[in-house]
Amino acid sequence: MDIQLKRGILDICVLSSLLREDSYGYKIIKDLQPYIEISESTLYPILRRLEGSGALSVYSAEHNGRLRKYYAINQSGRERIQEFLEEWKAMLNIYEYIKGEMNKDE
Amino acid sequence: MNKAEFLNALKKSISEYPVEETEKSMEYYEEMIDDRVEDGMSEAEAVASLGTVENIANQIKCELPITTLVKQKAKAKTQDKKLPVWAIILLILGFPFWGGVVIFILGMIIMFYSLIWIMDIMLWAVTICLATGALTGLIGCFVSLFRTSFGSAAFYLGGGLLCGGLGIFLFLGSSLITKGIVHGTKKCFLGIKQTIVGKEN
Repeated sequence: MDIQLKRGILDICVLSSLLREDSYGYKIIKDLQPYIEISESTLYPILRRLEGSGALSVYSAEHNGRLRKYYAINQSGRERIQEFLEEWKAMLNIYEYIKGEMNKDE
Repeated sequence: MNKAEFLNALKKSISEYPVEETEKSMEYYEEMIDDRVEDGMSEAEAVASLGTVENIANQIKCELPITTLVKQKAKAKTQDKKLPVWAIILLILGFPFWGGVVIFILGMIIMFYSLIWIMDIMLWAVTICLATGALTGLIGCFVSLFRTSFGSAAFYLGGGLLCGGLGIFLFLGSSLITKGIVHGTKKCFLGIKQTIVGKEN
């Protein structure tokens, strides 16, 4: 997949993994693994970036006698997912058109 | 490698970056190892699955804003060898001289760069002229076919085809040059960033 494209999609994937409940690094990776390739070292800058832009917030909570960082999605993060869905709806229309033309051609 | 060794190695390779940055990264990777161990992996396996320390350190480096990198580099340089006071005074007093030289060199670089672009734009202009010529030739050929003689029609057609051929040739050339310039510019910026960041080993 195109790197730039994958980067944008990964942001949205990470945000989406926080929709149901707050999550932590390792769980985010495990949740996303069936759908997209993501490693610890790629996740880290994404989380920092999303935190910096205010799409998510971070808090620490105790777990098994140590501190674990949890990530919670913010309103602007939800809006980013919404934008992504709308953009891709338009994209899908284009996809269908191209596919249709291709089929007619064959 | 166990967890402590891994974290030590990572700390060493990113220690030159802002403390806050270093601490956050360490916390993150420590948590990752702990979570994996909790999930049933051995410590060594958990560390191994994170990839090499160099890779991780590089990734952290790449995400730092360029301003931080420059500051860090500058700080490291001044710490290496502090300039004596007399050298600083000399530098300031000498500004009219070396400042002029620096501005002159910068100006030359900008001028040379603009010149390349201007030549490319000129090539494009010629290409457009030739394309117009080709079009005119073909139209002229049609018009004279009906109005005047076959001779002038053939003349128009020949001229048009000549323009068209040259135009296609120039079009290929000038688009190649444009691509080259854009590519070269990108490479230069990357090179500048890399010299600031330091060579990736």
